[in-house]
Amino acid sequence: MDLLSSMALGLSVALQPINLLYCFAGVFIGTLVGVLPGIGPVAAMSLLLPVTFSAPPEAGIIMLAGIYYGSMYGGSTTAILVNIPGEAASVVTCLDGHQMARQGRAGPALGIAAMGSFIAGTLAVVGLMLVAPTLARWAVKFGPAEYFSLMVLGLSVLTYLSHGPLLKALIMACFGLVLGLIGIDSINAMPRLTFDRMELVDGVGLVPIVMGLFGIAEILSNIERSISREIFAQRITGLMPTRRDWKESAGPLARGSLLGFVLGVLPGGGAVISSFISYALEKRLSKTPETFGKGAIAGVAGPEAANNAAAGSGFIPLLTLGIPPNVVLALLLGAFIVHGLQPGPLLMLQNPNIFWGIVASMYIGNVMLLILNLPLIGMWVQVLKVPYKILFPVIVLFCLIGVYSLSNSIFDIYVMILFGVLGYLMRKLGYEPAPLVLAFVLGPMMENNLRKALIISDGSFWIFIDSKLSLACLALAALLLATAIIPLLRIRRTKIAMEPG
Amino acid sequence: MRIGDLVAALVWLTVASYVTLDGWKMGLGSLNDPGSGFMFFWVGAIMMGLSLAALGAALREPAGEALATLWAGTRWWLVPYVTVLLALYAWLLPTLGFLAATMLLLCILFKTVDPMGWLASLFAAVATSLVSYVVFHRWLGTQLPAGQIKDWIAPWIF
Repeated sequence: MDLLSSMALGLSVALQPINLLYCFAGVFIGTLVGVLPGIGPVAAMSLLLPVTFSAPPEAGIIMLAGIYYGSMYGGSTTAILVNIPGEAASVVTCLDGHQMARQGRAGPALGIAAMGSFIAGTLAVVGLMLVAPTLARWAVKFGPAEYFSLMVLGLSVLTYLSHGPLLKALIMACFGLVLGLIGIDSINAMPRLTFDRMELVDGVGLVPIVMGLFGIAEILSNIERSISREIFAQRITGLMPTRRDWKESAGPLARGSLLGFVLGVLPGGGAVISSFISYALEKRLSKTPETFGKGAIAGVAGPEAANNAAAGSGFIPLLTLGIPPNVVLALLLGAFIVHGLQPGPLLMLQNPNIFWGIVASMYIGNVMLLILNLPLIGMWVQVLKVPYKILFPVIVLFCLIGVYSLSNSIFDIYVMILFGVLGYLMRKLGYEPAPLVLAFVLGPMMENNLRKALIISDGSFWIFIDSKLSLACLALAALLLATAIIPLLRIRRTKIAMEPG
Repeated sequence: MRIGDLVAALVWLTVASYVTLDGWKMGLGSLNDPGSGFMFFWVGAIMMGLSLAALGAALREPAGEALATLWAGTRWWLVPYVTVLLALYAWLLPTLGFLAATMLLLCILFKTVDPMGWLASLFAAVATSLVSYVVFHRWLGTQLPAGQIKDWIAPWIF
């Protein structure tokens, strides 16, 4: 099937009324959670996962994907107007976006953020469409050794890029692997670490862990300190950037899109790191670097393009290899599995309507986001005015409903509370939850592939070295982790380390 | 942070030791047919090594400030308070049902954390519970616990 007929198939799926409705709901909710500090795409996707059970698989996945890339759009609104990033990927947007707002240029800042996001998001989907089929054809040849090594690399990169000491991130990754392996052994049906609890026979649920670590932990961290928000009070006018704004933003938009696309594909890379690197790059390339941090439009355009491009290209490893590059897409992988689908090289062959339907829906979703973001800015500002004391009990309630409704289990609520407290303490002590969650998702797949590879090779570890791809992945992972003991490299890592998306 | 890091490293070391031991008990199998405990054992062993390294790093740090400084100037008591409320909610949910338990939880949260007036708290709790019930249960078809209140009241009415 050539690209055009594939895309036609995708559009025929994405343009079905039910899929359009789910796509709209996804991008709308995504924008909303992006706007609201304290609730992110992970919590929103967890909450709405059970809602997709009754929908066709493609509609459910389209909605959940829409929440993810929609949140990237919404995050910039909070960053510009309140100086609080709605999403981690919008941290850099605060620097110049809020300064522009203070100078009476909130409109162009919001405008360039929305249009830059649209351009980068659309370019990322074009890239996804072009790269994914080739990668999927290549990935069909991968064996267990290659998959295992790719997952080791993904986990190593994410751990390497985590905020804080590498040792702590590695401990988190190990703990995540252990949690992921709890339950019945898929090969010989032996219960493992179930403590004779029936609820643990199928393993610990991803959603209670994610909701606990990201939703409840965030709330516990927020309520112990009084949150005050200075909301931009002036009337926002003139959303269209001027010709000069466009001229200053064109380069950053192009570079940000390319940078975000490349970094988003890499395991462990993502929206957050690409936005930071884009900002640093634009500042370095600028003829007036002193204006950065004081309201330079390039400081908004570049990072916003980068984080949206990364959000789009992150789907490439998920859809073609079945390996999620970050926590949000790990949750989307869970959604695929719940719907009886296995992302990977065969998805495109076995379920072309779903694969191309999702890709096409992302084009449509990006158009919807542009329409949603610009005329509805006033509404998002009103949403931002809801005080946190009203917002947090509602977020708690959403978390409770989301976790309970997944399997109608009170036990899952206790698990969420436990991981909420654990996540809160981890934040206090400088432990990052992202490596834990990714390792939790990859754990069973890693074990399965490791055991298969060893069985195939009759117990020889050479199978991991014989394959060039496997060797390259393991060597790169080892090199990254070696930085923990090489002081010079450790300093460089500290400079670029940041919270992953 | 020294004491915090020390405590955390010791906790992870305990967890890792348990996992390693349990992995050993489950059976490592052989290299050409790894057993159920193979991955647990090796991940646990690596985690033990990392925890020991973290412990060593924490011991090398200067004494630093006490653990309590992490909570200095915060409303730390709200954290255990909200946690206990959530646990109570989970405990009461099957008995009281979604609507009653949620109204109770929200009313307490609205009234006691960043307090609002009684009437406002009650109104916000009832409105939020009803709206979420209608949206999630009626419209989206989410299963929510009905509780046993109806069963208790029925004999008194009929």
